[in-house]
Amino acid sequence: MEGLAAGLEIFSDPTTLGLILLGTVAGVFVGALPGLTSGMAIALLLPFTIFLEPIPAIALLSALYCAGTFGGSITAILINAPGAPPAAATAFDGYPMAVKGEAGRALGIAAVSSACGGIFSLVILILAAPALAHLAYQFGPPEYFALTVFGLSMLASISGKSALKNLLGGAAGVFIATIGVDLTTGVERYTFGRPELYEGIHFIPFLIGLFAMSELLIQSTRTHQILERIKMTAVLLPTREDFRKVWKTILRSSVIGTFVGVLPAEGGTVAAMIGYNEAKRWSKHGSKFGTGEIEGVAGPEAANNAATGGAMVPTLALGIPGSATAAVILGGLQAQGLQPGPYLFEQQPTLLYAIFYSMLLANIVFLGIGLGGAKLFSRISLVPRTFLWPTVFALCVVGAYGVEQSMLGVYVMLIAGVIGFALRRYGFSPAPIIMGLVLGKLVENSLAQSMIIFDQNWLLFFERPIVVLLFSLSLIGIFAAPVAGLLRKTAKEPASANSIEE
Amino acid sequence: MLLVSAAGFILTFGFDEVPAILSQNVPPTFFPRVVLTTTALLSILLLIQGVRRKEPKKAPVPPIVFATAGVIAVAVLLLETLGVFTVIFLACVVLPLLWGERRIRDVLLFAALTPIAIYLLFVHFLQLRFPPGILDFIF
Repeated sequence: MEGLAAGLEIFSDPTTLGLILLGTVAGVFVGALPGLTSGMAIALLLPFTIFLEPIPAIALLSALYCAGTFGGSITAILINAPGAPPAAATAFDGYPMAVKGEAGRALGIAAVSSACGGIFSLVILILAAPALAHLAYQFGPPEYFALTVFGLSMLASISGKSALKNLLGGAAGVFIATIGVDLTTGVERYTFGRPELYEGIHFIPFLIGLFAMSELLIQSTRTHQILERIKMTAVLLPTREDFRKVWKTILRSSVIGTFVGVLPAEGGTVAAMIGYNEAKRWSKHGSKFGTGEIEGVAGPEAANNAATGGAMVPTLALGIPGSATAAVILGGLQAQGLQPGPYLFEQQPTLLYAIFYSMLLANIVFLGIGLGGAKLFSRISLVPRTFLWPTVFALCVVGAYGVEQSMLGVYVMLIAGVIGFALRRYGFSPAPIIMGLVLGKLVENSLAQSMIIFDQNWLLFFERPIVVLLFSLSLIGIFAAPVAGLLRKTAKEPASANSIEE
Repeated sequence: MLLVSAAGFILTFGFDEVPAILSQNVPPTFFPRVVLTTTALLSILLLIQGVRRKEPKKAPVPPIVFATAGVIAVAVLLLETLGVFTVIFLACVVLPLLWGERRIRDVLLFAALTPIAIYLLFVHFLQLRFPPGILDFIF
């Protein structure tokens, strides 16, 4: 609890405060721009945060994460083009509301729901993260290995993509993490005699390439697209009647979003989809969803912002990222020389609470921005893509070079960009690769240490209850969806056979 | 991915050998081989899934993507020779024109302002150093 008070120091540091405000405004800005996500923006900013102190650096990234998730709702509502994937569900009812002339009301409810969801999840973060970290004291290398396997197995359940492709992407990321000198033996692996590769592929240029460069190539085909904007006079605060209608939805979605966020690898997009579906299921006007129902905006918005705080719980407590963007923030912590996990709570309590306060402040600031500046932010969709994406290219080059002041970073960024484009074309998402890359070293080290502890007898893994539990959850994570699909298919077949007989 | 896995696996045979006592019976080839076996298995499953579930044919990659990738690749290759700021200026001229932007004055203004803004923020404020290239008489 000492840290709780010590964390308040960020409010007396003008640099940190300024960076939180900057991160929030930048987050809403990039979140609102279709194609630019908060994950990409954090990836682009990461090289430069290395030159900051840890607290301002992580505060900036955390604020950007929260605000970026909200920013996507502005363009989802006004131009039916979600600025970021977590806002996709918001467009289902937000855009029809805007078409009906209720854009201000939709944006108002989106801002309030997002802030409520975000703040709710932060309270859970502050309560759950230390408890989870305390539990992690009981973790040895076998438990950490099982936990990383569980984290990677959750990639199978990310919705909208093929489970197999996600798992393969995660495994490819883990493989890339093996490049470099093996820490146990000092043997070079896949370095081809290049000294620049001894320390492995640097995370940041790879990340910039995979997220930003691949998106630039995709966007090059869309430079002529003109998005139709809905006119909006002002953002309206939700009325008492609106609140009465949506408070249960906000609360339910906040719980859903936080829970989904805590699960490794699951992020705001999954949370928003579930939040939307549950809002529809519990609503008295479920059949009207998709035509401009206010609950259809509140549900996904509360859920996707609640997922941001939720995702930070395993990221900080265990070093297992709760989402792709949290994986990038985890990279930021590592770049600062900080290793998330129980010892972070013991040694750096101020940092934890500083992150909490920065995210809290970001939620309050974007509520103000969302209510007061949405009209202005909606205009950023008018920035011509022919000027926006060359700027992103310039930032990619500067960011990839800046990490190690070496051309290798720029080459890695370029290659990762082309690989990312090819993978995305064939339905692979960059997020699992990033997760694999971030977790790769932890997976290898914990497995190697476990094998040494067990004297090569891997059956001893199954004598540890936490390991057995995590392995079981991993199996459920991987096989639940295919088994359910198979059961549905077998249930349908006799039914269709019967109808043919009739 | 199957080919990459196979190539990666073959390359593990070229790793330096270390005595078992040093590697504590976990040789440096152990983990890459485990991961590559996993990627190979997942690739085979994906292949089987692809054969069983025929996906609609994808439209070919538009030529603009190749042109953009080409411009970017050339820009990266010229980075050390011409310098970061010159390359950013050129990329900010060529990319918008390639993508159909015809407001030449706006393009030139944008191309001039972007490297200046980046210089002020990253070199002047954050004290980073970039390859000066042909502009080394300034930096």
